[in-house]
Amino acid sequence: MSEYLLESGKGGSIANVAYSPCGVSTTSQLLYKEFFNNLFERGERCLGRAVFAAKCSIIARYPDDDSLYGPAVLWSLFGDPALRIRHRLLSGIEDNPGPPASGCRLSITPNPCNRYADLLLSSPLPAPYSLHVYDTSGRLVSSQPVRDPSVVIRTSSFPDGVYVARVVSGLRCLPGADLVNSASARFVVQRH
Amino acid sequence: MNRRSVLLSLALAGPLAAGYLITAPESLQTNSADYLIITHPDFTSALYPLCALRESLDLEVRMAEVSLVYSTFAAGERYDRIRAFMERVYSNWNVRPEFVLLVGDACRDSTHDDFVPVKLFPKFSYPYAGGLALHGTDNWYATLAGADSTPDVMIGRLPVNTPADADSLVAKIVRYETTEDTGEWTRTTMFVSSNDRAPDAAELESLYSRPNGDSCYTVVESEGSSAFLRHKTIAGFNQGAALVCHCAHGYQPPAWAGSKTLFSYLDVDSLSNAEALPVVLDRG
Repeated sequence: MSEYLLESGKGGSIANVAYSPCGVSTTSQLLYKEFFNNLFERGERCLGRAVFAAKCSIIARYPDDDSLYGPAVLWSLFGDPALRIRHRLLSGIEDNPGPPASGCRLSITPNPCNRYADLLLSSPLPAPYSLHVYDTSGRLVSSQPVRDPSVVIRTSSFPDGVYVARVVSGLRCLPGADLVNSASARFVVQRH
Repeated sequence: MNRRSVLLSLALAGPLAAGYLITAPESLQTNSADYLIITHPDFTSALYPLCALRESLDLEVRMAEVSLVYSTFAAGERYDRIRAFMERVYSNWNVRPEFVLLVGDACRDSTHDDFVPVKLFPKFSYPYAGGLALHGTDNWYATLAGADSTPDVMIGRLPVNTPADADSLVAKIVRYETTEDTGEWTRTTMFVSSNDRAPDAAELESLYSRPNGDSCYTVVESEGSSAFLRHKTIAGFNQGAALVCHCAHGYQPPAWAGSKTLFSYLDVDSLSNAEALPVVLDRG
């Protein structure tokens, strides 16, 4: 089925995770739960990480029972492991602490992230605007102009830790406009 | 235009293409990459847009054709040579790839071209459907440290058989990752379940999907006839979902089923969800 869905020119799927026909139902549900946990609870949007963390968890948990670790070994990804799943997530960390006056919310996924994270504004601020990233001591660690409501934050040079991303509209220089035209969210860089 | 768009447009025009492909045997021995593609030469040219997309996300990208791998690592079967290359990459490259993508289908029974082979192993101790005595898995290429079965790199495969297939699938991936659509489908999970697996689907729905605000579209065997169920599954795909979770049984020719067929490979032609492509968890 995987090849039919992947190769469909009119639709189908973007990736399949399958082990047909060598799975067993007990392990299938364990793998599914691990995958769902990675996606929904941990905010992992990288398909390869979500799949392989699930596999590794089951293999490590049941090293002596091949009816449990075997299907996890056989669970295979037909697709690009670096694919970023297009799934709007609630992140594992509270975003936008306090309601922003503009109604604009900022989401960051995955969270925790590794080398990069996707930042998405729920509704556009008046462009142009800037993205500033601060560490927990309040030190500005990154700043860049932004023109799209979706932008990639490159975190590969950031030490592990908690950061705050703040998007500020260029109109903030107008008197009284500062709070209206900004949104912020916290995120974690964690590589291991 | 952001950097991703710039790089992508440049790659589509061609000028960046040459830098990704490893052409010298010594560059297979020592190199560096975050993202490594191992491809059959038939598909190389189709992969440059994907290389550019990954590079735009700050991944260092390298691509190796199996023909160069086979001639550089000359001992054993073709899968042994790919494995030897992977071991060299893992032990010797300055930056080990986090992601490895195999491009080309594997064929276990000589009925099709074996573009990027897979090694077959004796089955595990539990009964396999169809009485199979062997299994093949790409996991073997990814277990590079220690004696366990835990993968040490994240590996995936595009199981394409023609350059046209490769072009089409790469175009799908690039479009999927570069469009900004955040429509309702991106918060929808579809569950397709047989009667005996319906509790599994219900558990996933109640534990993860609904508490996190996802809409759930469910197809359960008990809801009606096979024709109704297949129609409902097709409708679910076409309505759009970020995730499709198959909680039933797999059959040959390819189908998801319990005692009734829920979705068949014949139904794929009825899908029109090109702008809302799901990741499919296929229980098989």
